[in-house]
Amino acid sequence: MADRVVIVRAGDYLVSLPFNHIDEILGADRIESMQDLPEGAAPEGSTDRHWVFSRGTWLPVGNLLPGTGVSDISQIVVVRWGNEGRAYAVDQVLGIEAPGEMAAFPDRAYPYTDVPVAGVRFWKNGPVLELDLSRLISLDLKG
Amino acid sequence: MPERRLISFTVGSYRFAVPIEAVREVVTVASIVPVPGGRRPLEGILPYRGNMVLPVFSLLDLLGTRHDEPGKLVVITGPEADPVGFRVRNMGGVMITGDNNEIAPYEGELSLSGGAISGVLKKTGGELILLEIDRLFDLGTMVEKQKDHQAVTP
Repeated sequence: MADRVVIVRAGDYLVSLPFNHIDEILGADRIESMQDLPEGAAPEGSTDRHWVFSRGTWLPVGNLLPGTGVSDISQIVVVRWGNEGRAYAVDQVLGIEAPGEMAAFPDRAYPYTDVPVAGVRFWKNGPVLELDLSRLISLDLKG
Repeated sequence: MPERRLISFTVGSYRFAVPIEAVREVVTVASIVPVPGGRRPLEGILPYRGNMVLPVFSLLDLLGTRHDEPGKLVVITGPEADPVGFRVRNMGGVMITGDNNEIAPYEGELSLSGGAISGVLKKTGGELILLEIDRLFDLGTMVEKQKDHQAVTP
C-alpha cells in the first residue's frame, strides 16, 4: 500500500509530509503572538514570534521551507517526531493522498540546499517535495 | 593518444566537446523544478524516467563563470544509478580525434576545475573546449568545492 502523505502548498512549492507524523492541522486563527502567551508558556530567551497551542503544549510556528517565504498563511501543520513537536505555517493543506513511490533526492544536490528534502513524489502530474522530518525538526531546534 | 569519439555542444558563448560515451542521453526540457533554498550551480531537479529525479547544474557556474541563457536541452551524464544533467543551448556533431597535435592547452577564462578541462581542439573552425565531464561531476570533488565556497562566503 502506498504511503499516505499530507500535501501542502508552501509558497511556490508543493510539499508532502508523512501522514503518520501529522498530529494536528489548525487554522491560522489559532496563532498567538509572543506577547499574548500565558506567563511561562515560552521558554526563556525564545525569539519565536508566533505560537500555537496544541494538545496541551505551546509550540513555536516555524517556516516549513527555511529560506523561502510562505506567502499567504492559512493553516498550521503540527508535526510530531519522537518526543518533539513543531508547528509549521503553510499556505494551504491540499489533502491526504497516497501518491506514488518516492524518488530519492539526488546526493549531488544535497550540498546546494539547506532545506531537508528527502525525495520527490509525483501527484497530479507534478512533483511534490517530501521533507525529511527528523532533519527539519533538528534544524529547527538548532535555530 | 588513442582515438576518441567526441560530441560537441554549446553553452552560452562557449563550445565544448566531451567523450561521446560520457553522454547517456539528451532530453528536451519544459521546466526544471527549482529546489527551495537552492544555491548555484544547482539549477534544480528534473523528473527522469518516471521514477527518479536528477539534479541539473549550470555547467558554466561549475567552471567559474555565469551566463543567463539557459538552454532547452539537458545533457544527462554520470552513472546509471546517479545521473546528473546540465543545460545546453544546442548540440553539435560527433567527431573523431586521435592526434595529439590537435589539442592545445586551454588558456581561457574558465576555471580548470579539478582538471575537468583537458585542452582545446583547434581544428574545428574555432575553439572547442575539451571537457572531462566525469571529473567535473565527481561527487567528492563537488562536495569539497561547496565546502570551500561556504568557507569563503560570509
